[in-house]
Amino acid sequence: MKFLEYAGIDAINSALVFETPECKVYGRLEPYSCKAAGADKKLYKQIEIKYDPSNSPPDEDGSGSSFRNIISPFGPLDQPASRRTLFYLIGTLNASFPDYDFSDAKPEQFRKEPSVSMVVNSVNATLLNHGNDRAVKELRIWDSIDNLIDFQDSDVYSYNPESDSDPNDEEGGGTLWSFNYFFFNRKLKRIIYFTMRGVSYGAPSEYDNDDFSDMSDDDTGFGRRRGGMRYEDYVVGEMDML
Amino acid sequence: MAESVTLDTLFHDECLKSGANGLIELFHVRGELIYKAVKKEDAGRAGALQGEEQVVYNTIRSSGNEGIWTKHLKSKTNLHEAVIKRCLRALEQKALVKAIKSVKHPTRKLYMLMELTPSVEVTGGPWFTDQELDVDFVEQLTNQCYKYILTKSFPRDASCIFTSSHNAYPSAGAVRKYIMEKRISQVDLSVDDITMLLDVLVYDGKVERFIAQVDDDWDDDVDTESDWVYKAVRDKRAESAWQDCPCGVCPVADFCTEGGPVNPAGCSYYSKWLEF
Repeated sequence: MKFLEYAGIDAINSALVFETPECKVYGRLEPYSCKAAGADKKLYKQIEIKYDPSNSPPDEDGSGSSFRNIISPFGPLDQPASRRTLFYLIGTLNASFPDYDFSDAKPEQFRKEPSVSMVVNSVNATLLNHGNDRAVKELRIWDSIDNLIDFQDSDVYSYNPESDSDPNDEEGGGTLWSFNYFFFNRKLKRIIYFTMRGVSYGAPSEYDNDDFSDMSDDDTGFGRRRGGMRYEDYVVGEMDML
Repeated sequence: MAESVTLDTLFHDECLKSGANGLIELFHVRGELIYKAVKKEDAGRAGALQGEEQVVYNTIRSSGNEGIWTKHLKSKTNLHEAVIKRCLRALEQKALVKAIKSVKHPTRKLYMLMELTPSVEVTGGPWFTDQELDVDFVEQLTNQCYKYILTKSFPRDASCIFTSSHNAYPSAGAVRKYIMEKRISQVDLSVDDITMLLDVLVYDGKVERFIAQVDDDWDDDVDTESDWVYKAVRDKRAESAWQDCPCGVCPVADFCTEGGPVNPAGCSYYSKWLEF
């Protein structure tokens, strides 16, 4: 997916990284055009092979038909349009996190959000709860996003991975909550990727860890397990503990 | 115009030249340049690599069969992402490195040398097929282990148990021998793999393990790697709440009624039971 430059994005992105008394918040907004670049073509083929029923050889017991019935958050996967959406979302994740490969991400790790306004409210609530209303009130990020993506015509999807596949759940733990939203306008062929995460101050920073062996990140308990949840769920979890 | 050249720069240039033969390796460690001499045999493969490609290749080589994440590759070499991307592509084309996936971090991009086999930590060992835990396989094997241990734990007559000096309970090695002989698994399993399954049975409460009794006439054939032997756990008592409460074992429970000659208020069994 091709990264789109947009005037004003930098200002927004700097406003989305800020400190609060309980954690440091890292957020970013990235607009992409759904144009397949180099490695994307390989990804597209992979997805087609995996989910397109006409590609699987006919089995005696008819088990090839099992994929025909996969209803995903994007619609039935035997429809090329649904597979395309999955391809765009995975491609966006791959572009946004160059050290990761989400090609094996499963459709059920994504969710189609019921409406744009609910997502907007949820994000605003999260920002407000962390004492940051600058992004919304002053910089008016939603106006910018609407200019780029036209909310009326867009679908919103979210990515909710397991903690071992979560790019927001860094080694060393400490990620208290995170979200990954994709604003997708099929007509304009554009996606805006909006991600944010809250990291606790107690967590060791990745620069402290001199031993880069991939085996050495261990489960620091709290931070790791909570990585993939949204702020609302994190707060409820905290309340349970009181 | 004579240019003054420092000793460091001269040294660096000379090393780069011999580096072209693959005899001297260049590393970036925390911003410093480190030089290392390479054995002639090792120099062969990477011999033709230049500068950055060589650094990337060497850093990948030092990760052995664990592989290295591109993010770590970036911090260790201090090279720019675009440079690393280019080097990796070139190294892949020359068939010197390959991309692998780890079961612990399925979305990370890992690279290792082409000729090495990924370690068990990365592949997950026999329990993982294509990065996914083969639950059926594990369950099936665990059941087979349990059944075998069960047959060795109690005598044929279900109402008896072995004496305390009985020592034919199977060890992990014995279980493994049984599994391999019956060819239940298509892949070769080590004693450690079997021990992992037996641990699952122990934690599930199906099997208990203890140190075997050591006899004076110790049989040489016995697997002496570990002293643990396993025995199946049999449900001790089928307990029911009815047994605890007096009504459950009362001979006249059917006859008992409020206001009758035998009634709950005046029940002598209850008085006795409630007399702590």
